[in-house]
Amino acid sequence: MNTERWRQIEGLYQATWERDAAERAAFLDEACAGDEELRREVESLLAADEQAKESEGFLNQTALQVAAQALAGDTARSLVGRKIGRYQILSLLGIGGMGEVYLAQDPRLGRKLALKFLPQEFTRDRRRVQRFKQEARAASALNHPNIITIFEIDQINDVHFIAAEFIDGQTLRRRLKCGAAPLSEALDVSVQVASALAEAHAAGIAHRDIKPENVMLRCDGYVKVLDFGLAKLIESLSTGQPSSNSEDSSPRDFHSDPGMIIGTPRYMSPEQIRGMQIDARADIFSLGVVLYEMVAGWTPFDGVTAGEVVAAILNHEPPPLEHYVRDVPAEFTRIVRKALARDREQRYQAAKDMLIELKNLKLELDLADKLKQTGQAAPRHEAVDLQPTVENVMSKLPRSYSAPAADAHADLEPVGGAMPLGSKYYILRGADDEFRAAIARQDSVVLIKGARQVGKTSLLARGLQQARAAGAKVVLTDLQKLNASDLASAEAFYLALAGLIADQLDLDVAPDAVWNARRGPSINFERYIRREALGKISAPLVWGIDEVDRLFTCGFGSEVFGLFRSWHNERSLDPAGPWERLTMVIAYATEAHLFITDMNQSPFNVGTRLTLEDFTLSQVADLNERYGSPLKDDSEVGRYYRLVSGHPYLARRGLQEMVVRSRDLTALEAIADRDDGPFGDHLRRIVASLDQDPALCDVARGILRGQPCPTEESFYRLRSAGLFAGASARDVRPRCQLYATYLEKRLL
Amino acid sequence: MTTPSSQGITQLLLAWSDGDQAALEKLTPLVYAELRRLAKGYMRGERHGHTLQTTALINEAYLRLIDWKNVRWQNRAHFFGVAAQLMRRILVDFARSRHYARRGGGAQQVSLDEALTIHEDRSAEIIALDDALKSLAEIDPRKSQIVELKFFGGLTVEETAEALKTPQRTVEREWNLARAWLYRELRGKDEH
Repeated sequence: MNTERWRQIEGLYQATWERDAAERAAFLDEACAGDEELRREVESLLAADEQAKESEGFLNQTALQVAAQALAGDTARSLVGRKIGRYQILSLLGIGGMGEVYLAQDPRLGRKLALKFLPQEFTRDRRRVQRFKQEARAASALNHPNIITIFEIDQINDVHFIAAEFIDGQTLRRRLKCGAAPLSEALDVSVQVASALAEAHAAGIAHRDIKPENVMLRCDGYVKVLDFGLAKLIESLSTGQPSSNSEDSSPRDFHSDPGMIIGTPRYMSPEQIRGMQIDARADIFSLGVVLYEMVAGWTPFDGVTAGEVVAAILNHEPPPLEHYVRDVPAEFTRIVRKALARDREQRYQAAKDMLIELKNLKLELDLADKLKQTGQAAPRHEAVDLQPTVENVMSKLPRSYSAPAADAHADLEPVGGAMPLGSKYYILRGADDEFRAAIARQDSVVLIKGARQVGKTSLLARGLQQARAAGAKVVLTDLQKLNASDLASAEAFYLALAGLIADQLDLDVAPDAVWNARRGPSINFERYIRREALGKISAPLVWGIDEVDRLFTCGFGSEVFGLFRSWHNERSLDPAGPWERLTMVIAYATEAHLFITDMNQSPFNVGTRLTLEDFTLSQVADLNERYGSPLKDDSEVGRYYRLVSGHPYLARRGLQEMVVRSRDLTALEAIADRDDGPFGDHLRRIVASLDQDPALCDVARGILRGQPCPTEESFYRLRSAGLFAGASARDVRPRCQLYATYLEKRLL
Repeated sequence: MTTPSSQGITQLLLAWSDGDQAALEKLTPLVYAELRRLAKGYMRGERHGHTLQTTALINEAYLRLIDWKNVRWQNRAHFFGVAAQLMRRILVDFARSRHYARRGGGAQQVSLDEALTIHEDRSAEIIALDDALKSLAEIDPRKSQIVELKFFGGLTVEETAEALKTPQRTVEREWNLARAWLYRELRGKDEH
């Protein structure tokens, strides 16, 4: 078509276009005057105009939009359900600046993993890919619990991907969207990130892109750092030079370096912005930014545009943390400021140094916290005095209880705490049989849980005795014996625990001798147990852990439970493995449930559970006989049973009181609910623990007035703590008459 | 205020228009990064039905790439032209590589490329449009330029008018005709 003809068409088209649809035909008739081709041309263009206007996509969007939609369409619909190499793609996990990540199944090993596909524009240059692979392989050799495990770096055709451990959790970025983190959480996360960095730096690998998007928080509390070395792929691309061999330390002109605006400069160190050669200290700066952001809720160097952020990093001091949070410890501020020093010579020179200071601070704060808690609710320490530990009981083995009585009361034992192994007052319950069977089967995990003073420790001692009699090696660690500094960090805890075990089993190699600071504490502990304990002892090992509820308030508690669970799981996967010979018996008080508001946090969901039931009426009658029948007849036994229900401690304590003080049942009933009475200590303690949660106190008041529990959760907590009994929130009552009277007196 | 980064892009754009091919290498990843950001927005938007959000994302993306509003460039019109050309070049390359990949660049068993095949391939639309635009340029270079500025460069009618030193009304009329012509060229062909 020549230009002149096109002008003619255009003129006529525009003239027709301006007219109403009704007039157009007549207008064209006249204007075309027999030139049918001209008419057809204009008419078809007018028709096309109508259609184009209505066509949603066509030219009514920009090319960038269309391309992005093409990309989105591919991503959303494409890979899921497909098989890539041997991997079955299950779902899309996310899209980031560095590509798309899918959840996939590896049928060969039967495990789930994450597949990260690298964008093709980063992988076109073969040499660049080569360099990246070297880096990534070096990073994948890092073996650290806080660094994501890389299984494989490979390609299919020209699509490159990384197969890595699947992390069930969320990124720190997403976590921060719910608001700033409390100091303890921020410290916990940063300690783990610093630990990962220390490991990588020791291997000569810098991360170069530490930011909340690259930090995953796994559901069990582990923090995992992602994408080591990946940043280099982008960097070398945008600077157009292999940064790994770059000797050039002169400032790079940020203004002409568009690579800088990939992602965000918010976490970049001044030297990174200036384009200088960077080292491990750049990661320390970035971690400082993340640490600040976690606590403040804002990054320290902020701005609307990348330019403003860059200017802030290069020239400004961050706003003091006190602007965002009250009561920031001076030490915390000092650590953050040191990490954020503009001059890298002024920063921590190694991640390890920062790690130590972070850990120390965490330890101090945890300690202060503990002191505050004990100051408020002292009962635990009273309890220690009252409760002989299992070890005391075990050490008295095999003292039998048949010594002739010198006087009438000489064979009465103090009531409370573990009962001597030969005690004639020990009543066998269902849990005893179950426990015995579990020990005989060599179950991997046995859980003994119950409210305070229902006989957990006594049961534990008997199970261990039985195991020892059957030829097993027996270890008992009572967490009550650990001091606060042992519970300050996972590291300290595992070391203390390993120390106790080494002592009792008389192991040759001390834990410190094989503890490797570059490994995580749980790895160290696991290796120690596997190699030095299980590896050197041929008999089955039964390990009792008492007072495990002490771990519930530790930040690393879930990590410990996670480790124990993993042993249990490994044992079921590999029945011939080292864990086959280990039986763990874990005892803890369910009172802790009063304070665990999230019921899903239950520390264990594996193993054989033993629940200590209250005594039955006939067991109380049996006990009465063993005490020489202070209860005169069945009707008195019935009355007594209503008073204390079958509560193991109360039942024994009351009978002993009657024997020692020569009281009859009526006299006992008269002083039962008094603070200076025989049950006073016990009763005061339950109210003290209830007092710590005013909302739960209100619920308890309601129940005493005959109302149901408002929620299943409060019902569950009150029942776990042993204060109330019943089948459901609607059917709930005080556990025994004594509790009812005392609670009414104190709460209503 | 102009950001250093957009200034950086400005300089790269000019270097490219002066024939520096290395500048294109450096600009491409930036556009791709924006593309992925947008794609992510679309996926979220599709799931939640927010189209407004993605419109905002598009504006933001152009703003980040080529900070029109803040360019204090003596020859703004020239700058617009260069930027639109560049976007066309990069986006068409992008579409071609995806399209090629889909049509079986590699032919081994079950390839990732095959797996990527989808029914509606919008990247083909960009390639076809690029071709059609070349034909349009032969008979009416100015309309082709209007489409390049608006479609590839993401300019508004006002900005296009400024770039071409033409009244807005004229731009609108010419845009309408160009769109109809292209539509007939592309969709019309499908129907026959």
